[in-house]
Amino acid sequence: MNLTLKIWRQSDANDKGKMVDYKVTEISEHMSFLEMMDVLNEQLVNAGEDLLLLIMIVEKEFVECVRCLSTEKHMDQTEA
Amino acid sequence: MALDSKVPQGPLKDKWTDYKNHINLVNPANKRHIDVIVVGTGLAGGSASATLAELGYNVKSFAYQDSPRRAHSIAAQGGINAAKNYQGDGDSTYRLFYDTVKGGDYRSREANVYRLAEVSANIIDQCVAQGVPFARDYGGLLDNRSFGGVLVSRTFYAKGQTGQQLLLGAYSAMNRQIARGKIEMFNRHEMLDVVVVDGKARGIIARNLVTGEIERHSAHAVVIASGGYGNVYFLSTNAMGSNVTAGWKVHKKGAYFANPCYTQIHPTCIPRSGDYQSKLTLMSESLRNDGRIWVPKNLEDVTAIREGKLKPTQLTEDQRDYYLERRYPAFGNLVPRDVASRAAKERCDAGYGVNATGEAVYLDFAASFERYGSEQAKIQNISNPSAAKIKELGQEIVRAKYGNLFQMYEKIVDENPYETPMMIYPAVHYTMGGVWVDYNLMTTIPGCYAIGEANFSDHGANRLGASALMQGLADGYFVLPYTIGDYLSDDIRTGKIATDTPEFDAAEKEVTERIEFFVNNKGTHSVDYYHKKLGKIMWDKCGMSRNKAGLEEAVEEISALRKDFWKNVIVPGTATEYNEQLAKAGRVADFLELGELFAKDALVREESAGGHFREEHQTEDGEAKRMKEFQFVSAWEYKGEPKDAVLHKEALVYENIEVKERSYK
Repeated sequence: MNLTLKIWRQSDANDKGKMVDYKVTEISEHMSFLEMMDVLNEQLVNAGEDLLLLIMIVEKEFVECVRCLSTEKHMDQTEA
Repeated sequence: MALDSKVPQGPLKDKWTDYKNHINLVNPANKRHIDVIVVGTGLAGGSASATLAELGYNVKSFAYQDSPRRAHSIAAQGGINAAKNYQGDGDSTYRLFYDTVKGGDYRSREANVYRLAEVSANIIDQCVAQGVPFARDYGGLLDNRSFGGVLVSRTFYAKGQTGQQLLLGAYSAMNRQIARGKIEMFNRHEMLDVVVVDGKARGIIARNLVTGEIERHSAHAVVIASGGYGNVYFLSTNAMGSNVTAGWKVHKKGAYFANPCYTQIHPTCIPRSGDYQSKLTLMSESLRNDGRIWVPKNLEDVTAIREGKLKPTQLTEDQRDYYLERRYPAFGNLVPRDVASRAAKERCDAGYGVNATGEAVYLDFAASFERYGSEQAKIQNISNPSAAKIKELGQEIVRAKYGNLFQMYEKIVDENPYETPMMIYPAVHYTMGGVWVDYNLMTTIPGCYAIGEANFSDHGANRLGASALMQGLADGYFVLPYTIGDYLSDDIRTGKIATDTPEFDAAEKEVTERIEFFVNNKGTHSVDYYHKKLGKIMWDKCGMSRNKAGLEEAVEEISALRKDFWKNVIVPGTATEYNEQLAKAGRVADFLELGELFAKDALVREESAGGHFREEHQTEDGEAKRMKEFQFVSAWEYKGEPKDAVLHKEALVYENIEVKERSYK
């Protein structure tokens, strides 16, 4: 599975924090969420970045639905 | 320095009593002038901390986890042995001693093991007093079950979570001392070095894992209770954070490291599912009381099962090979772990593994459902019970005994073990090797002690199931408090140990320099990259079966991998924040040295004993072949490069047991 993970990044209590998108590929359905996070961590370490600390939300279906909805709406508007 | 085990003179059964009668004691009023550091808060460290504090010493306990009760002892499942003979089936102190020495393949120190058996009964009483909810039989007395390698039922248990309950008992005892101020608890602190002053262990350097601060802590004695080094294989049943660092650091400062090649590969763990996997899950040995291990007899059935065309429940009895029952009639499914693991590997190597990777065998409970169910039907006076009813009644009994384990299996594998056999495969679980200690549990550094899985002593070349919990608590509650008292009686006038001395300066400098190196190195590969590579070399060449060529390659490959690590490892982030990659880097650096010593130890030990199986030394039936000239403990002295370590031998003399062939047939 290829997924887009939306991860909350906040380095410490004083940091404002923000949501960051990360793409992960070749995720097996046998993996646990935490193992998936390990895969993402490995990617980030190899790129020399900071690592994940807090909550994360997986929104594969949601992201696709939003894409579908916005496409349909756009077509409706053009046809009208 | 010559090895002196300091075993007391006299008949075996009197050694410990005579010892306690003659040691120096510390006046209660003087105990509060003495500080002790305990590193690790599992069963051994937690019980030691609580007991020493209760006695009146000032204790500083260190754990890298968030809380002392998150030590990995919490995951132990099956039970704890004690020679109480509640079942009246022939158990006694001598028999527990005998079973343990034989189970260890005659590679452990007689006096230590006898003492372990002697104090085992006290442990149960202590835990019951703490409120540990052991299982009880219909009459309200403590219940027992059997474990591998023994013919008696001496294991006390709390469902499939005995370790958790015992640790919570020790943790409550610790908490009472923390509240009184007698234990100062340092959570989220990792010990990174020991400080030796005038030849004695007098403190540690610890890193606060949250802020990154390096701290100096002093004491009159240091106790290492940091657990086993199974994670040198990367994948094991240990927690991901479990490491060898505390034990390795004392080794580098003068504590000999003994028998690293004796590792235990547990036969019943959930099989690996892929390369991304972070750890392996144990399925308690206690399940082998009631589960029967088998593979299909015919290769065509194996293929059909792997392809999903056949279900295991469809195979009849004579289409199944209950290979443990076939090869070992006397012990059947309850042979010791090393024997069971090698037997599983043998069947899988021959092509009978039942999952996609060919690395799984069945652990089947159908027969036990029937047995318990029929018994229940009789008890409940149900006439002509249907097969379904019998099964239902039997499943209830099994649920009561192992409920949490079955649930765990289902959550992980997504198969219902009440309806289909469990798939299991051997996995690294426990390490019999560790820091060498004498009869006092003191290492070759005066004032530095090692207890629990971190030390090498009582299990020889193979540990029997349910003995780890026993050893950890024996060391912490009933042995160390006496032996350390004798040592500390010399320190009643010493006063607080200062931390602003050259020895502390030097130790802190070394620790800081290593950390600076990691965060500044311009590398290319993550710590996990190296850890996984090391794990693969260890599993392939220092695993269930070892040979000369493989071990020589392992020594060279690990040496090369370590050089690569120190050149190319990348650790993001800084040292002054919570940085798990930095913590892991230090731990893997130590594993990369231990791994090489391990392979060297396995190479030098040219025999098969317990968990150390050399292909060149086996009997015609494929069993381990011990060689008399190796009846000694290999205690290694650090000399810089692991392959340059110097071997010291502690001869093992058995005066109370006849050393015979270790057969479970």
